[in-house]
Amino acid sequence: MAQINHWKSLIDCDLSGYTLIIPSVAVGNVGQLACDLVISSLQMRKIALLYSPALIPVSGYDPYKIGSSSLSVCCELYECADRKLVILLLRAPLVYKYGQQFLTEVVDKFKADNIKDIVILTSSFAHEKKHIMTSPFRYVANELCTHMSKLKTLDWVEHESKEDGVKILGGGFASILYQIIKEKSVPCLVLYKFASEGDNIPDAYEMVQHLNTVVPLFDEPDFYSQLIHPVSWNLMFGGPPPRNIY
Amino acid sequence: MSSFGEINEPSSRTAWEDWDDGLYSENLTELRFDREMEVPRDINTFIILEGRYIYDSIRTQHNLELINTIADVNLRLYKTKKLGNYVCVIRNYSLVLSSEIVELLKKYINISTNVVAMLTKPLVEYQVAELVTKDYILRSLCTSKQLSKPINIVFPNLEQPNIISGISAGVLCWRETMDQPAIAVVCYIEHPEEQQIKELYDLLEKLDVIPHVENIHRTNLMNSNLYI
Repeated sequence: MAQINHWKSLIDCDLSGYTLIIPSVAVGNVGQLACDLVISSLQMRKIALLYSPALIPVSGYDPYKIGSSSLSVCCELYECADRKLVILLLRAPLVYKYGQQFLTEVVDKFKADNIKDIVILTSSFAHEKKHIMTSPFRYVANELCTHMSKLKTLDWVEHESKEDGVKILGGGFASILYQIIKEKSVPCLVLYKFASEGDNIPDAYEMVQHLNTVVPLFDEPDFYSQLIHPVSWNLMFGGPPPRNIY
Repeated sequence: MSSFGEINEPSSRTAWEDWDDGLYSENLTELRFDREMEVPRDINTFIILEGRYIYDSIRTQHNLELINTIADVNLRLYKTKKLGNYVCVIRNYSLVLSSEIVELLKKYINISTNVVAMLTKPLVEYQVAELVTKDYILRSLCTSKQLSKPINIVFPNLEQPNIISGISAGVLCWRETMDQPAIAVVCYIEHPEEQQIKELYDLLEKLDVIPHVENIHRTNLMNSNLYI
């Protein structure tokens, strides 16, 4: 079958030993917002573009730099060499018809690049949370997950798996991607939060804080002061109201 | 501007498919052009016109020759009689099908020296910190590589966090990935039936899509429900 993913490399990088974060387009876009926050805060650099018919096309100018005339596309790869971290940011949902092949090609590419592990950030419908007194976060990890020992020391709640595999309702392609990664024997952790559509910025902050516990990105004492709001979050709920409504 | 109380959902949240039930594993139809046609060796400019406003503006023009269609997505492919440019006109299509449509257009896009896309969006979706007082706003998005033959009409860059989506965005992304030039001109408009946007007509004339701007008179009668 012909490859559907077309990469354009902007900067050559050796990704051996890197952690790859992939946000799943899910309820409240929590994973994507969290990645936005990390990219903006760590001032990660764009190292590649990915075009695929699996992505609903969107385009605009660089969402992290006001006044930039650098074009941004629907899927881009950002890198932070200090933290050995890459983020594959998806700005649009996947088209189901091509989804499986897109994800398989993505996993194959990064496996060939010798990345250390993959972390999937996603969310699930808030109404799916059955035990209301527990944390809104859940995780799933495969046997190869490099964060297992750390996870055991934390008081985190594991996702309740059913016989037919991991199913995160409202979590977009996270379950399918997890399955592919598992089959390809790549270490993987899925972290998700129960959320609803609305103002999901607080969810993103919490998600980054949880992620920081297992994948150290920011120094703990002043965690929140190190996070930088991406400029693309401005006007998330529109501009000023029209005067003629008053 | 927006109507009071109107709920304006971000488009990313309305377009996504529900993956939870796996309902899409069957009945996946494949789009195709209605006629098998030979693709030319090269095209000077490939023009994409998206949306009903632009469709209405050019539908009565006689310097366009219809060469192919994709009826399922209201796509019509024309060739301009004078310059031999290709013009793809599309309206009312499902956003989920955009990338598949771009795949079908690739055989034309890849051999085109320049690609110019024009699309309209509701003014309410234009996001800036200042109050918008104009009836329409024109902005542009360009690939890193500039057009070999500039369109000679300058439109300000689209400000962040505004984005475009759909076929024009797909073509722009593909051209950027392939290191080829393209430009998208986006027109945010409030009352399409009442507007004659001269800058857009000038561009259409320059691209040989319409003959002379002076001769263009949009008839709003067909779009009006006054007499229905």
